[in-house]
Amino acid sequence: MSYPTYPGGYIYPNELVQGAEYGSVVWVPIIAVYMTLIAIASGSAMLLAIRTVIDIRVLKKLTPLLFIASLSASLVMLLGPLADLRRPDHFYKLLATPHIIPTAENPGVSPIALMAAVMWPLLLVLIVALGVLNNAVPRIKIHVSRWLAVSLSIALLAVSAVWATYHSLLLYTSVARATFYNYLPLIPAEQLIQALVIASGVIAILAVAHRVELAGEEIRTLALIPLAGAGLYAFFRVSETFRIYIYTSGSEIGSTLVSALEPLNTLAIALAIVIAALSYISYRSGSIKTAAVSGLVSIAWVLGDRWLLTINIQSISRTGIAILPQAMTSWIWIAESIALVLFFLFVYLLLTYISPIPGRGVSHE
Amino acid sequence: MGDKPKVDTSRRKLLQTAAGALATGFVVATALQVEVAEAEERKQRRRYAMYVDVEKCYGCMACVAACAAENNVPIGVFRTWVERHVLPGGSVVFVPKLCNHCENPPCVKPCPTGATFKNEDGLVLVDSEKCIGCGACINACPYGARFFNPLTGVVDKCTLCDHRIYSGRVPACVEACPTGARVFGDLEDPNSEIAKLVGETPTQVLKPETGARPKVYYKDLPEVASR
Repeated sequence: MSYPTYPGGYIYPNELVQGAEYGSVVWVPIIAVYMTLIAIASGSAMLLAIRTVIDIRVLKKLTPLLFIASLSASLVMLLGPLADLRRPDHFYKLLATPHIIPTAENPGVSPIALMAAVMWPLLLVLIVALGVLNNAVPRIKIHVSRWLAVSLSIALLAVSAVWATYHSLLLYTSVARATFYNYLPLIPAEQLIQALVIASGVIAILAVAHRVELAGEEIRTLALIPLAGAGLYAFFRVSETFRIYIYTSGSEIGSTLVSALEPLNTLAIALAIVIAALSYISYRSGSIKTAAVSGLVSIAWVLGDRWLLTINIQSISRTGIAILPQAMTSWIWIAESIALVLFFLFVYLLLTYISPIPGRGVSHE
Repeated sequence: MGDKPKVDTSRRKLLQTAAGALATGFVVATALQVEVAEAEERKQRRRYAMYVDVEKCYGCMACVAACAAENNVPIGVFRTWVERHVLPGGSVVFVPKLCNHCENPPCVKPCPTGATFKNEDGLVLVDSEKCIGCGACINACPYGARFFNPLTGVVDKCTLCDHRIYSGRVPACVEACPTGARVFGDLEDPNSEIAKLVGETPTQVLKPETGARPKVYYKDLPEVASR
């Protein structure tokens, strides 16, 4: 062998070949799509939980949509990491022998195992329970005491909030790139906000698709979620970006961080501002179609941000002073991602067939 | 009258059997106790580590070749490698690197199936039967010591040649080093060479800020190579 050379900095030789056809990328691009799907699932589950505790008219009307969107996204989302695994035939071991109890041999708890083996079934059970309790399923009506309903919704809120911030939890276990996350400490808060924004956007798109009739006041209430959320996100991310520029300006680590972040970081901030602007227009005009357009932008926004935090971050060498080449010779991830989204839509349509969404010409009464 | 001797014989047999069982039980229990005590002793006493004298390394790559041959490491990935750094004055140093078999390994915690584990002697190993190839450990390792093995599809890394050291031999890289730049041994054994070297020489470890507590100790590690 020849000695490792260090183009534009200093890297470890194994970093160049980690992901084979994806160059230095270990977590392949489908993970960005998977994380977007998680945001949709957890965000709509959170809205479903909030609707149980607080009487918000628009959420009450959109309960069947929230229920089916969260359930279908939750049902298919684990197929994302399945496509990322190098040994998918061993996938069952994740559920059969999850590393969730620390031992002398295996200290700590694995976030991946915790989410797949514990939080995923819990999320599904709680979504179904609250869907049934909130009369989102026709012909099934169960009445339980108020405290039980509130307890279940608090549990769902907690579980879905953990799911919404799962990506950041995963990032923080990447000790190799700890420096990067030290400069972006607000990632969990941003991802929680993004889940609520994308869920409200997706619900607006589905409301348009199902021709659910909403009053102007109801649309205004719905538009408040992305308006406040996208605004808050933009504020957080701009603050963090300034922090990076101020603290690392002129250093090797600073230039590496900026190269990895830009231009996707600026695009994410810009899209957040666009979402806030569209939501404001929707709020002022009471237009659900504008809210749906804002929803489409929010999908692109979350996808872009997840790409930034999944793929771009992996381009930073563990030495912190070099950017690794990302030679993506395989494009199979595009087909896999499309398949994942199509499967989500298929499950969604199947569930709406079993439990029709009350819209024009369809009623649960 | 005729029944009594039968009872006596039966009782004698019973007593004999009981005594035999007791003796066997005692022997087995003693053997087990010894085994457990030995295991405990082993657990308490061994802490395998490596000492690298950077001054002695001249970059011959014998260690890299020996490791690849011993462990069937495919071309392009490395269980151990040698870095070449040019210091500000223009002089060149060679720094051998490998898995640090950390006391607090960041790679073990995120492993979702427990495939990556720390054995009783402090070696950080991978059970390839359990590995699902998620890459969480690769992203967690601060030293770039892990990689996907293109032949097996699962994560691979330095084992400190566990198949050799448990039969009383040293790792292949240590055996191949012509200058003795690498020293392997048990830190818990006060008479071992490594315990003396680590105890008496000023040493450095890679990235102490991660809290991983690496067990590969370097002598004369230049700052440029400590990232």
